Amino acid sequence: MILQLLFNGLVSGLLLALLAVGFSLIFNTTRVFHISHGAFYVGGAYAFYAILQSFQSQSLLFIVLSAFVALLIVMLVASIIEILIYQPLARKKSGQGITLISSMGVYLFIINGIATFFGNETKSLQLSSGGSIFLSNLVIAPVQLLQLLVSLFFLVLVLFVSRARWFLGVRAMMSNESVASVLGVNTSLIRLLAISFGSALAAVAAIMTLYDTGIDPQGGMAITLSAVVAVIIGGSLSLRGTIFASLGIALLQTATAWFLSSQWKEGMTFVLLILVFFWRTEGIVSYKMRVEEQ
Amino acid sequence: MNYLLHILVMAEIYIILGLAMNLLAGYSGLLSLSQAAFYGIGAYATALLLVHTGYSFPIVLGVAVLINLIACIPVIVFSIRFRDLFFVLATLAWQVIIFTVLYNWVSVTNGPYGISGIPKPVIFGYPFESLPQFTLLAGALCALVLLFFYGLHNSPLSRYFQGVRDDQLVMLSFGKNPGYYKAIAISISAGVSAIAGALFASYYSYIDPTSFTLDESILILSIVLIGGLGTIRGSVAGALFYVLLPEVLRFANIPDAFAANLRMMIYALILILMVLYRPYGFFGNYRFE
Repeated sequence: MILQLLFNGLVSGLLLALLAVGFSLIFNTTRVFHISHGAFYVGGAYAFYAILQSFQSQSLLFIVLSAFVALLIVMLVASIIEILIYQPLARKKSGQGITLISSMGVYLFIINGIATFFGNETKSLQLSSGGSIFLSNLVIAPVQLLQLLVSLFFLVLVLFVSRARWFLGVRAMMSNESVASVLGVNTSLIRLLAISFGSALAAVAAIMTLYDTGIDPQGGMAITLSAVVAVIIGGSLSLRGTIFASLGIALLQTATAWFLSSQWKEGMTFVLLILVFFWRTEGIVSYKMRVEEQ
Repeated sequence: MNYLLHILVMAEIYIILGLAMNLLAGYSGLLSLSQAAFYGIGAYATALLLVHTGYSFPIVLGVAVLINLIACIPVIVFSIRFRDLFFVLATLAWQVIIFTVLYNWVSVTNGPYGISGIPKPVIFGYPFESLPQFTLLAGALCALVLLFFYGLHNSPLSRYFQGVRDDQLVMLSFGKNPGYYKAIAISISAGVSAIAGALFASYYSYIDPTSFTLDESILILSIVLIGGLGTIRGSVAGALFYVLLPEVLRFANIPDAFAANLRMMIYALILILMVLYRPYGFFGNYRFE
């Protein structure tokens, strides 16, 4: 039973880590507090769902292909948002408060657009094949296996890419954008790449969730907020810290759902966030307080 | 006629909420996302007291305001300890926690099923049962709140709030403690939100937690952002705009199934355009950097 709880926590933690890593990439490069991450999460799942429903094909190749098309759609929309909204705001040197508000606007717009077209009901898909795997007293559902493998693949890919030589430019931009751009780093291209690939990571997690519990249009906010908490707790610039924090949060949420009720999950996550805030205030915000103000 | 009165009541409730939000976001520069929590606590306190104890409406309203003053203490602590994005996240966390409690504390709040049969307000033996009477009551309360904020706007206290918003260091060097003024602003804002919550609860005679979600907080914030920060006519204009927008859509013959979502889409679009091209809103005199 404890083993099962740990395993469920691990799987949902890896999914959460996909979102959190995406959010972290976007936040650290663009300084946009990307609340609309949740909208791209839901949007990716619905794009995938719409493609599958309109062609009614069950072949594996087709499913993988339509997942890629859904990711491309998400990346395209994210790039449009970046070019039309975030970049003009960044050019005006707007603060984080105002970009956060614009991101909320984007969130409301996309979510309600999806709800207008698809309705407010929960959408879910069934995996066509495979039975559960039984390991002594651990039951692994086929969906969980899929989630485990796919999210591990993408997380390892991200960690691998973050070691690459060209990623140094991104790191330079994370620590100081203006100096990086003076030294010849193409900051606007990196912003665009970070936003589109970060959103695509969220969409991957969403497509996996679609096969499991399903997704409704309003469901993006809760998991995005959990991801934000993971980014803060994990330390802003460390991808590994973010992944470990996601696992911890997912474990806490699974345990809460197990022992209390699944409705307490979010509340527990945010109690944790407030505790971390008081315990360790440095982290995600780059703002340095003047000594007199502390 | 009833239709117009219903719109009027909604407008009055949202004007009160907008004014309360404006005191935080516009005057004190605190981007708080927990306004719907205070609105909800006010509504729940009113509903529970009216249903279970049978005190008259003014006493219940007073108790609801008091409960909100207690519930806003964490936000005061956040405002003193955290700045900028940290404060936004902390208030967001408080909003989610309050919502979770309202949703799960079944023995008191009846959880997701909500509280029904909330009686209409009775003040000094005079019942406000029919819609015109209720509109009058809400209008009177709204006018009182407007008067209060008008007085506040012209008072020295308002200058202190704006001073804290613009430069804390200067306020400190004048011997004014910024945390003290933030605490006053947050308490007033939470207390006034309780009035809106009380009106909401007794108007609908049924409440459930879904009226007080994070989305509602975002909406209340966007009302003052669109209307304009730091002025009274800004919040009034924002609230009227928010309440009247769906009625305009109704005349455009849009089916009800889409109307709610379409309204939010248009609203979000206007919010984005405002942020990009007119950060002061309709009538604001302050904008977030």
